Amino acid sequence: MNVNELIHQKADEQVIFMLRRHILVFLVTVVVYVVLFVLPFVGAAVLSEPVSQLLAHPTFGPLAVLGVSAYLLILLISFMTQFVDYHLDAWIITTERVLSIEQRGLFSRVVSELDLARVQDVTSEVSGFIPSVLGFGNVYIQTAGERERFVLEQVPGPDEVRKRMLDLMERDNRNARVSTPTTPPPPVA
Amino acid sequence: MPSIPIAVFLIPYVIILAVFGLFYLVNVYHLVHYGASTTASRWASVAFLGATACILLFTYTALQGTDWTTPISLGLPSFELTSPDLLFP
Repeated sequence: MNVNELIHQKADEQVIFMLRRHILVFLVTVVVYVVLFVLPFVGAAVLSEPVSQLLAHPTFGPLAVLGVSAYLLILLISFMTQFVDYHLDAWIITTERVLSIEQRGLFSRVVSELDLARVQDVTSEVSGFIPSVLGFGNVYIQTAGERERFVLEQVPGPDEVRKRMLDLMERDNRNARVSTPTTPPPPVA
Repeated sequence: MPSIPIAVFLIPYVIILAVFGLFYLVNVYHLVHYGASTTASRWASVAFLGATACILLFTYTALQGTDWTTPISLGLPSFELTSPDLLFP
């Protein structure tokens, strides 16, 4: 399934950009999992003598192998779930709408959308040393209603995203004014 | 002291494998259904499959030649006292 099908793209609608969290956010997770993954092998290398004795034991050797195998499988499936969670969280900005697709764990998915015409204010925020150096942060989209604001979390180039969104909103408003000409007020008797 | 063959420990391992398989399929479904259009999701699916194959191959190789009937005793090792005087002098 591609993006156009996913968002049920209208005929005259164009996808301007699709955003995910900055790759660095996921790289931190990758580093943690790599460390956890190599931990049993490093342990086996450091404690080679007792580990080789353990593995040669007719009873505890196979149990140790099963334990390590189960540990690695649990780690792998947990990492895969984290990757899916990262990869399927996306924000799509089209010429008409903002769509937020949020994968929450494995069995929950929230897709919400917001018409550009309803957007009142767009704010970008870069906070912290690493986000400032690498240029990622949050973009807050405030609507006219009581609804909580849309948050594009930890996206690359938040200032650029804000500027382009403001341009899109302006263009959308201009198009709306052209397509619905204002009727003159009735003459006063 | 009662004892069980070490083959019994294969049961929880198979349960973990089944849960792993279920989660793996759900993850792949998500990647294929919602992310198939990207190269990253295709590579990720292949990489996860490769990693799973490596783990299972490592396990299979390491467990070859295991005698699964080897008994393992349950309970704590007991101390047989030769004389009760040791406890009650």
